[in-house]
Amino acid sequence: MKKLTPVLCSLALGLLVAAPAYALSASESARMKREEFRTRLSTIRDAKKKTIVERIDQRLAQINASRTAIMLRHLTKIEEILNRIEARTNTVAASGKDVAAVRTAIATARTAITTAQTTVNAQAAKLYTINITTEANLGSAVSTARQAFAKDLQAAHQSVVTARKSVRDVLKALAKVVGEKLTNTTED
Amino acid sequence: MKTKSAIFLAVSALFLAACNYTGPAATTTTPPAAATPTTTVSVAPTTGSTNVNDLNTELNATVDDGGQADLNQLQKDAAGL
Repeated sequence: MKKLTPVLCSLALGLLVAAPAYALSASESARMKREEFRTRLSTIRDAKKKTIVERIDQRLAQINASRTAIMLRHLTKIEEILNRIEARTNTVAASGKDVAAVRTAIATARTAITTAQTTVNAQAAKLYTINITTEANLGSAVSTARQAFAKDLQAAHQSVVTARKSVRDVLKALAKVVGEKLTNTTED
Repeated sequence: MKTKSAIFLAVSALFLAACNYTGPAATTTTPPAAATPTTTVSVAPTTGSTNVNDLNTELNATVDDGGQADLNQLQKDAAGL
């Protein structure tokens, strides 16, 4: 174990030094991509197409920022609802009712919320750059970026849907225990 | 001379008092309880409610299209390329 200690320390030190360097290179890479995009955009002669590409490039960033902000706000609300369900569960448990199924559902819901928060935060940090090659291929370059963004955004949204569904499952379990009928249920 | 000084001081004091006057004391301006705006009673679920159907309604309020409308518009915008 004594022999291993310096090795482990070196590894830990290496990780500490390498992590910021990696982060720096990732942001540097993104910056270079943006610069390349700007340079290639300036070579487009068709002014109308150039305006469209510029607008879509801006919209990709705007939509990503606004939609992920909404998703995070919804997740905060979903978590707050879950906290209140848990408070009600505690009250019901105190009256002697069996809430084991509700507690299991609560644990599942908490995991789903955490997963969704991680997914949405990762999505918010993503940058989408249109890879312009030739003027003739502008349509396909934009389409590739747009489709990649749509796929990622829908995946992030799906994680929120899963989190909400898991909280609704908790609510159903609680309603069953307290003998109340759950009305107005809108399934995603 | 003394009288003039006294009058001058009295007038000055009155003037300064008038300058610093900010109206009657706060306690005398408190509106009667009846004038206090009342809380509007709403049929919307009360925040903080632990009623299962209120919670369900609040959960429904977090449902949205996930940006599908924005994505569709983006596709339309790209149609000119």
